[in-house]
Amino acid sequence: MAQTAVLAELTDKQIQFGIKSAYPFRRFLQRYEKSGQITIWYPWYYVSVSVKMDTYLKKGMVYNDLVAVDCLRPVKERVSSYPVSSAQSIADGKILTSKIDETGAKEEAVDLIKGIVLSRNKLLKDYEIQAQACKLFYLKTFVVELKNRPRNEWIYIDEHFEAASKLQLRPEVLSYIQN
Amino acid sequence: MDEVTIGTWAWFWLVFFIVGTLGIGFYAMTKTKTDEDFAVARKSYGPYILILALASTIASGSTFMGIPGLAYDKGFPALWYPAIYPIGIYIGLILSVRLIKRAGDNFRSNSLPEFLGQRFDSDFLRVGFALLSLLLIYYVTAQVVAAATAFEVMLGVDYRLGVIVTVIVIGIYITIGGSHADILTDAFQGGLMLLIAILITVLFFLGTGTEGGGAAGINEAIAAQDASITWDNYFSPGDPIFGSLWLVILMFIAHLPFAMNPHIGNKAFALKDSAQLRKFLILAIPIGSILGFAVLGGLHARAVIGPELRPDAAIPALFVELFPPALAGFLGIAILSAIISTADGLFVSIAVIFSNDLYRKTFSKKIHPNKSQKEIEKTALNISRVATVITVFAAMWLAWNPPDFLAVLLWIGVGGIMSGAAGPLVIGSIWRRSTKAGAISSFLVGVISYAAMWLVIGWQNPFGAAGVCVLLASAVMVVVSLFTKPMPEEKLNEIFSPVRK
Repeated sequence: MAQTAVLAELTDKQIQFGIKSAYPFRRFLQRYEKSGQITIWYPWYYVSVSVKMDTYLKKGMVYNDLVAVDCLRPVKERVSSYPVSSAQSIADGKILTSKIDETGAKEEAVDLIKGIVLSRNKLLKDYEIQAQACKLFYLKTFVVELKNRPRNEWIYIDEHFEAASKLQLRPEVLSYIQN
Repeated sequence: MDEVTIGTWAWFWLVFFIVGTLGIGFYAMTKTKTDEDFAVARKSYGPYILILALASTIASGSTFMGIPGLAYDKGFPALWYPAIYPIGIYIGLILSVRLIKRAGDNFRSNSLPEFLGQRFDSDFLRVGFALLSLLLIYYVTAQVVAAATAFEVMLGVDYRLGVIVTVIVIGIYITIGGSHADILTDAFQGGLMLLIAILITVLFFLGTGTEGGGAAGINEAIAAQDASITWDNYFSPGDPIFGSLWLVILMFIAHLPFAMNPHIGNKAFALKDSAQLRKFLILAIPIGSILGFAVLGGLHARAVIGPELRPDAAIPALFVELFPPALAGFLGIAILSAIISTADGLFVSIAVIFSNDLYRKTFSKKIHPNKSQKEIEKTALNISRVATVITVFAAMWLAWNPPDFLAVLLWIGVGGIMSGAAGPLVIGSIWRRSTKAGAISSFLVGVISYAAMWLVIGWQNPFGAAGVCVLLASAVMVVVSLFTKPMPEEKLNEIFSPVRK
């Protein structure tokens, strides 16, 4: 069952930072101004992964890892914990629909951890990596509308993953708010 | 009782260093609290430890020996180098690393050659860049030469014995496994190097060992030897490297694609997320700049010791001259740290070229069509081990006869890689209109023109040669791309703003 992440509202400081990040070369007086904002609920799968591995120095190691898999882009991030969740209403914004299922998310999560384990253990002898639980979260993100600018130049701010960019670089969000 | 000599102290510190490094490594390997810590060491370290680990990868034998050696020989005009190179490297890094990280994540690339193949849908570029990256062996060789030279000057041992000792130390070092060991030993060495670079800078501005004191004292002492290399001379007329502003500009251009060297560019793949990437870029600039100040030691050595040294030995000799034997020996260990931590990263990069780019991604489909994915990955792992051993011996063989300038040796490899990478990787990362034909043409022109500069024209300025070839390859990339069919919009979106279908 999907859950929502508890995140604070967007502050003016975050908006300014987002505009500066997306338009780093615009001078102070020419910097764009906010004219509105849209709330977007963005889906991520959180997949817990179990790792068993032997190296030539230490055998029988077992640990669990956690990977967040973006449901609309082929992006995955290793994360340290699940988002703090609640039964918060998501009626106040637009909800993006996931384009992958649990199986796909698990495969990608395993792939990411496999790459890390292989690259960081020079004396690796054997390993087994398996996906365990998979949970869908809707993270609250924002589109900041800019005064007198076309939609594709608006700013998308994902505070949870500390990302800010022009909407033209986030076509999955742009196409959704155009509809 | 005889006074304890620098050689004795240097041996003492060498043993201390080896035992300390291996001790930290093995302690980390065996005493880690959880298996997760061993495998990926995720939550254990704050940013400062990781920054020191990064510093040790950036700094190499060239930082403490090759570049100061150029300054020792060519005087104040060589200061263009530390002024220029951090700016060039980090502009190039900022321009392309975000896209490479993002697209690398999307395509699940394990290396830069693999990314390049995916960016332009080209097996030729992947295999070509992988083979070109084997020139990194010269980079490894430069590290071995640097360490052996340090042994020769500070320990008084024969240069070739130094080569053998270096190879053994590196061989032991790279067998230390586990992320804790990796991070802790790199951070330990990075911290030493930053301290030494700061110490060299302070000593320079104090003018320690000169009559007048201060930087002015160093300048006066150099003027007494050769007035043409003092700080009144911005350039050295006739010099192939620092002869004119034009050559300095070429040096700047040559460093723009430096971060595309596989062992540096790969760091972007190891970062956890984009927030870390921002911190990585911001902190890399001051750290790189501080390490660049080591060049001042070359000028200091020239002022205090005179012109008779082999240039690459300037900093070790300066330590021997200025410090009591115990401290001089300890400072030499910082040089060894720089060398070993860089060589370690280079060995991993070369192993990846063989195991991933050449075997797993290219030849496994042809030579092992019936093997399962798991079997192929196991074979790839074994290939990387064999490749590491071969690289160690190849570096030893190449280092057997010391070159005149370490920096020049290093740049035989680096210049070739950068000339080939400038168009496809740097321009291809920031310019959507880049085409496959443009990338292949640029790669070939960059590599062939660089080889021609060395082998046919014989220009003795590796930075200048690389600068010209980078410009030429970039121009070819742009012109050929404009005259060839653009890549499909769908493919470009996959790279620049990927969305699931």
